Amino acid sequence: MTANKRVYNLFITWIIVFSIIPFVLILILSFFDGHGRFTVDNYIKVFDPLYLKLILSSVVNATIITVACSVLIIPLTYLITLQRKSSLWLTLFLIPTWVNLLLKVYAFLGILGSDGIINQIITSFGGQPVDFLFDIKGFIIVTVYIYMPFMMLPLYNTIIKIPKNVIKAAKDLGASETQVFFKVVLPLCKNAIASGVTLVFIPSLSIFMISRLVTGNKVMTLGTAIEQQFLVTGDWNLGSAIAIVLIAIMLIFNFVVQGSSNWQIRRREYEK
Amino acid sequence: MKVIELKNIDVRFDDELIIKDFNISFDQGKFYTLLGPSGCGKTTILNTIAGFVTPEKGEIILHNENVIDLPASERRVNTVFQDYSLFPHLNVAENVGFGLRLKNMEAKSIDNKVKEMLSLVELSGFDKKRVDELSGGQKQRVAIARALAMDPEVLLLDEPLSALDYKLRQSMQYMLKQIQQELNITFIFVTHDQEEALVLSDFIYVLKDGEIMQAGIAKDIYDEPENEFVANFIGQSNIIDAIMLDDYKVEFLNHRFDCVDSGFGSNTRAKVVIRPEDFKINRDDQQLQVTVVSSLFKGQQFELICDTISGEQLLVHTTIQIEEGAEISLSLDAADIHVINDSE
Repeated sequence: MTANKRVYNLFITWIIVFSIIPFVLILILSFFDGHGRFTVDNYIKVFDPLYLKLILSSVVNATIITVACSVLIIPLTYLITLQRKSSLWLTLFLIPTWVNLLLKVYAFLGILGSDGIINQIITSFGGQPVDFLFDIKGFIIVTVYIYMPFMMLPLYNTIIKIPKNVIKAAKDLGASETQVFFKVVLPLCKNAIASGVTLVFIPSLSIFMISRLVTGNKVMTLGTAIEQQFLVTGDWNLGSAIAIVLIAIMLIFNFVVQGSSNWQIRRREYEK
Repeated sequence: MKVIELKNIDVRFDDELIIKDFNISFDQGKFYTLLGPSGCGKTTILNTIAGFVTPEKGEIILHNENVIDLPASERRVNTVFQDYSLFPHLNVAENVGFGLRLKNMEAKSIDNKVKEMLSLVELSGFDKKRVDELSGGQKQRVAIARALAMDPEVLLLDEPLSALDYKLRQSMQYMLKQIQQELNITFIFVTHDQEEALVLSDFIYVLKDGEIMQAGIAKDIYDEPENEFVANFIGQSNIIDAIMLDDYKVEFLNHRFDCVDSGFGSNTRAKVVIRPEDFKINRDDQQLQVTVVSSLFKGQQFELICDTISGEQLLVHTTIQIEEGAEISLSLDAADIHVINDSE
C-alpha cells in the first residue's frame, strides 16, 4: 500500500466514523418512536407551531447576528489592511479567539450585568440602566463578539491581496475613499463575504451555551431545543428529527451562498 | 504653452530626501519621456504629478493653478499603470466607463464615450469581454482607454509596455504615438528603455538620482550627450580620456583631432564620447591604427572590439565584415567627436 493510499484511507475512515455513522444514527433515530417502532410523528411534531416558531426565530437571530457581524467587520477589516502593520492589527483582533469560549461568556456577564461597566457608564450620564442579560440584546452582542473573527479572517486574506495599483487606479479615475470601498473593495470581497457569512450564520443557528448563560434560555435556538430533547426530556427521537431539520437548513443555506459566488473565476484573476 | 510645471519639489520617503528642489515643466500637446535607470526617481515624479505622493514642499502648477493640495481623484491627470490594474470584477466596457460613472454621467453618454475610446485603442466589440480573457497587450489598451475616457489634460504612463514582449511593444509604441498626436494632449511616459524613449518622444528628460542629467529632443540626447552618464545610458559609447588643447582641437589616443566643441579652455582634461557607428574604416586622414580582437555578427551590423596601440579598447560598428585579428585604421569626422567635461 502506498503512502498516498494510506492517507486516503485514513481520511475515509475519519469521515465514516465521525461524520457518516453519527449522521446515519441520527437519521435512523428520527424515524422511530420511544418503543422502537417506525414513525414519521417526530417530523410532524417538528412542524407544529411551537417548533416552527423556534426554527423561525433561530433563523431570524442568526440573520441578525450575521448582518451585524458583516456591517461591523467588513469596513473594520478594510481599515486594518490599510495600516502599515496590518498583520499585527489582525493578530490583536484575533487574540480573543485564543481565550476559552466559556471564559469570554462569563466575562460578558460581568460587563453587561445590571451593575456592570456598561450600565455604570449609562447611569453616570443620567440614563436608565439597560437589561442586557436575560434578553435578546445581550445574546446578540455576545454572539457577534464571539463570531467576529470568523468573518474577519477570510476578508483580510482577500483584501490584502488586492493589488495596491487597483486601488490607486480607482482614485486616479476620481473615486473618493468611500467610493473605493463600495465600488472596488466590496465587489472584490464577494467570495470572502460568502465564506465569512457561512462561517457565522451556520453555527449561529445552533448556539445553546451562550443563550443559556446570557439569557437563561429566554432566547431559544434550535440548538437549545435539541439539547433539551436529549438531556432534559430524554426524547432522543424528536431531538434527532430537529437535528435533521437543522442540518437541512444549513445545507440549503450553504448551497445558496456558495452558488451565488463563483470561486473559480476570481481565483484565476489573482493567479495571473 | 505650459500645461504642467513642478517647482522646487522635495519628496521624502522614510527620512530620506529622494527628490530635492526639483523643477520640470511640460508643454501642451507633446510626448515627453522621463528616462532613467531604476531608482532614479522617475516614477516618484510621476506619482507626485498624479497625486499619489505628497511632496514635502514645492508647487505643482496645472494650468496656472497650484494643485498640490488636491487629492489624486480631483486632478485632471490620469495614469496608465505598468501592471494594467484593471478592475477584475468589471468587464471591458465597465472598466473603461468606471470614472465616467463616478461623475454621474448619463448612461447614454457613457456608452458613447466608451465606444469611442475602445475604437481609439482598436478594441471595438470587446465591450462585454471579461478582463481575464484578454491578452497583456489588450489589457494595457483597455487601461489606456480607461484613462483617456476621463479627458485628462495630461496622461501619465508608468512603464506601460515593459511587461509586453518585443514585437507587441513595438506595435503598442506606434499606437501610443498615434493616439497622442490624434488627441493632442500631453503624454508623460516613464521608462528605463532608451530605445523606447528615442522612438516615442518629442522631448526627453534623462534622470539620475532625482536630478535631470539632460533635457532635449531625442536626436540631441543621442548625438550630443552632455555628460558621461547620458553617453553611457543612451546607446553604446566609447568614452575616452582626452585633453582639450584649445577651442576646436582635442587630443586623445595619442592623436590630435579637429572637433566642433569650444569653451573648455586650453590644455584642459576632458573626455570624448564617440558612438561606435561613427568610426569610419580604412580612410587616410586622422588615422588610428587598431587590431580587431573580436568580431560579432549582430544582424544589422558587425560589432568589433578593437585594441589601440596604447592599449585602449574601442567598440566599433560596421556593415563590412572584418575578421578577428585584422589590422585596420579608423578615422573620425570632427562632428562625430563630442567633448564633455571630465567629471572625475
